[in-house]
Amino acid sequence: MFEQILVAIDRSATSKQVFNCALSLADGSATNLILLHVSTEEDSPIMHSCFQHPEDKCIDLDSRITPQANETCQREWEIYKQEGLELLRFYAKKAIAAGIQTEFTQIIGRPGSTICEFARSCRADVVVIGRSGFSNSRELLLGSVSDYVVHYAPCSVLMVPTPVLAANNSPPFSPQSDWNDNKCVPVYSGFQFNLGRQ
Amino acid sequence: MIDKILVAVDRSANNKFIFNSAVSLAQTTGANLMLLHILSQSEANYPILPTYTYYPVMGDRDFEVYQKQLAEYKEWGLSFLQDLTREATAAGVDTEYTQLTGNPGRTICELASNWSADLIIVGSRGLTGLKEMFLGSVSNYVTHHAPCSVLIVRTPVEEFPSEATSDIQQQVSTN
Repeated sequence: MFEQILVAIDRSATSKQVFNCALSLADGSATNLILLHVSTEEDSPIMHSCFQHPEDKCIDLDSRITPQANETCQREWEIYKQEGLELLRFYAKKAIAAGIQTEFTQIIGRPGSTICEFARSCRADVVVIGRSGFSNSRELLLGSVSDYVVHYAPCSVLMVPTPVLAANNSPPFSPQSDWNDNKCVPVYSGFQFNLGRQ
Repeated sequence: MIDKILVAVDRSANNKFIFNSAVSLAQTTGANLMLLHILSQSEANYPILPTYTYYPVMGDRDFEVYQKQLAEYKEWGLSFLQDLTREATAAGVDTEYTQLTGNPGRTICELASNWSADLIIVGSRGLTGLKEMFLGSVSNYVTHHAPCSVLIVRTPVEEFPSEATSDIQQQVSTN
């Protein structure tokens, strides 16, 4: 029935449920699974505005600091992208082990519009996406990716309910340790070095 | 993972497409199917209570006519569901059907939680912007209030016109 299934995966542990649901839709060898991870600019490593516009902050920067900051930021970006790819590879392996043709892509941009555009260009039959179940006021303020996709996607949309995770919006998901837990308890591990993030 | 699928059917142009995708999905996952048709005033054939004056004066005759039309409409809904059930059973899917009255969005969500459905399949009427604001969107209500996963079926754009016209032709020929 569904030949191209597009699965939107994010870095939270709840993606596991979304992925499992997509797997159960897949029909053996007739299905092509595409895993998509959109890296948002919100949780990516960013450079503090001091470095970008030092004159606005009335700061005099040593000319040796700027390239160093650039380099660090670049390095953080590389690590960030690698993490995304690792996550995708992990899920792709799972799907291939289940006997389903799988591809994966990582795109940097705004999640809602990127997912819709990608669904159009890869001619997906269905988009599988998680719904975090934020309360209405929160959704109004933050905007909801799944709501955007439901309204603008060119194809069918399957929304999988996922529990809301406490406090931090996007705790990183460490695939190996978290997979077997039934509960989606985020494990905040690792040291994230964000330049100028308070 | 998906054992119980609830499908909301109505008599819109892309209804056939929704039903077909539900059946093939049930075949793939080996799930039970529940067909739900909701008698709601927003559906095209719902009989209108005749009122002629400012005051809701209603003759016995008018009321009788209304009751008769309503019974016919319910009857039509049941036969529509029975046809679909037969079709799904022929495809090898365990199928039940229900017909309820009420606000579509709320009724769908209620039945889903009562029956403990794993997946709700609804079609999208494709209303956007102002139309959606005023007419209300059933699929939008369901996505926000459903207790389980929701599949919103959207007809592929290139297929839609031909299906719609063929449906209209069928209706014309039956009339």
